[in-house]
Amino acid sequence: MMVKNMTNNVIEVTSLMKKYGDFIAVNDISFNIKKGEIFAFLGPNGAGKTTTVEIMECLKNLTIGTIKILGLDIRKNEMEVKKKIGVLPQDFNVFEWLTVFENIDYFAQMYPAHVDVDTLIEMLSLTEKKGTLFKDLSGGLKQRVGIAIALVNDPEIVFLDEPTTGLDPKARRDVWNAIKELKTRGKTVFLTTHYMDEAHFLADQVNVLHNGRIIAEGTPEDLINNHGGGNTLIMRKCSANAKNEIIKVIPDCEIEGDDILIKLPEEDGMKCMSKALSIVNRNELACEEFYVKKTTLEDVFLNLTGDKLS
Amino acid sequence: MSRITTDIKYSFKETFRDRMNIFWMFIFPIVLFLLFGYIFGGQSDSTTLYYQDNDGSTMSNTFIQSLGSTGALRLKDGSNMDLEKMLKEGKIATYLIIPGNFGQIIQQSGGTSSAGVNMYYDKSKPTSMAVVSVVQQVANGFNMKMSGAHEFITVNSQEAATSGMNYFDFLLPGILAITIMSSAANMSVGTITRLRSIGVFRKLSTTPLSSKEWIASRIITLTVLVILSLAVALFLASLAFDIHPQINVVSLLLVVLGTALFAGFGILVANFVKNEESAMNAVGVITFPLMFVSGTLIPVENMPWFLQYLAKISPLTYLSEGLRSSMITGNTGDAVTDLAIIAVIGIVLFGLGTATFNWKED
Repeated sequence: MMVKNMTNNVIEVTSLMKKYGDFIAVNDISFNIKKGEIFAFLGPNGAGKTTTVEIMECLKNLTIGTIKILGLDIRKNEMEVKKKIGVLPQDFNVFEWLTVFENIDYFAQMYPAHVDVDTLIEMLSLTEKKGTLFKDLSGGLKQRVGIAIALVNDPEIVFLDEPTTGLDPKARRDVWNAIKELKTRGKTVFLTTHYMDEAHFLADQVNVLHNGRIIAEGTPEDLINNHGGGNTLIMRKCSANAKNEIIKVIPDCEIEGDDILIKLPEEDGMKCMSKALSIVNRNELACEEFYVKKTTLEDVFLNLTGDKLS
Repeated sequence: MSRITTDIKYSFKETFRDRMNIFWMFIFPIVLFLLFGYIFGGQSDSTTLYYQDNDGSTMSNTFIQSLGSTGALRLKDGSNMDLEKMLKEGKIATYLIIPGNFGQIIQQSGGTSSAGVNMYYDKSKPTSMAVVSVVQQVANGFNMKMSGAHEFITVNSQEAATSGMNYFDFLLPGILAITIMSSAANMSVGTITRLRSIGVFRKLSTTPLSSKEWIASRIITLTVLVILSLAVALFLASLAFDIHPQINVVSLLLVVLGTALFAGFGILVANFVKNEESAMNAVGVITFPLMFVSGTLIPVENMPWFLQYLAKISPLTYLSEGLRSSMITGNTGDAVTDLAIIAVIGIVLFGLGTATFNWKED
């Protein structure tokens, strides 16, 4: 009894599996999501992200496993669950010949209780586009309308499936800000993405998916620290004798043309860095540029799978 | 309930905003009506009789006037025309030459010798024979009058609704049936496959709206739209062609059940053919030939025997004949039989379509 109330989990997924014939799209995954956090599924296309999220949205049936949303088993309480969640599906579209206002109003009327449409329009800065037909909107605006529609029933949990795919950088920023805003309003956000910067910027918790399995989980910083393989000191355009001197002192450095790459060990990265710099300094050797390349979630994925994310 | 009314309200808005819908629902039936009306029914020119009166006497004038007074012919004076050439070139179907001595012969002979008028006609024109027989009748009447004979038998001809039905009367219910079929089948298959392919169904299925509620709302919208478009076509037909079809319970039921039948067919195709374009083509492949073989544009009896078999299995045949019987000829008995056939096929197709419709994905 005590455990249930203490965990504060709004979503509990246990041993979820989804098969299409013989193909296993989602292979025995389990995870919990806490109230108020932004939780991201990160993985390449075909990893099973969308399948999982669509099962949680009651859009597809699961093969094996249980999913509890706000304590409700989604297989037994589909209608109750639908009333409490908001969804921005992948490749979101609504009625092309209705305006922004009409589309939001349409979906608001689908719920027994709904938020005031004009309030939502204002919240997502869509006031100027209120009377524009949906088909005439840009991709970024369409996604913002989608987020507005995902909020019509004042849901406790919002699912956003690849919300910025295909958007230009400015539109992505706008959508990101809208998502951050959801968190400040106390919503729990479930996000799927194949952009590591998106997961890094937005998510409190990241699960990395690959071939239908969760291969790593944690905060973005944890993942980078645990799986990123550490930071790298890069010394660019070094002279031949600089390269010779460095390789003597730091034998496991890598030489790529005129560049020297030195993996910085996590414990004494600073020490390693000052060692390299002092060699250059002491011998007045020539190198044009020094910088430290931080690892990203991209590297995490590469290290875990040997594959690139996108 | 408010979910259904919301969907009805907004689907009307959407339909009327897209000009393509307005064209297909309101303009296309009228275009089809005028086009076929004038192609197949516009042969009134073949009952025009061109004449050359080389006599110009009172006698020849009286003869021409009595030809005109039958009302069966349109007379055109072809005095300065090369009628022989026009007939050979197929521009006219018949012409009449009254020779120069026409009046003289009749008056001088006092009934002993007969004056000839010459008829020329093109046998390939179906109405030319009718024109010849009208001229013959008038000549007979003339002979009787001249000889002072008593008329023993008179034929009182009366126009009956069935036989006197002109082509436009025949065509109108056919066009209405085609409109019902194409609107119902195309709108249902088009809307479903389009909303599914662009992902609107994915969004709708995450809301409390059920797919059954949605399909109910769309069928209500569709039925009202079909009735509206038929009303526009009927109104224009009564204005332009003075056709006044009867609107009764049977014809209304035919419209509603016919809509359900072809909507059911469209939904069924959309449920099994997932790709938008393929589904539209599948519906087109079936409905397009039906337009021509179902006694809508051409009477079934006028078609070759193998097409008559096709007409027998085409639901559109029963819809258009039911509408013709109930609205034009007033043959209620036939209309009710057609209605029963439409009802049975309609309930089966609509039932199957809605039962297999679901937007929840696998």
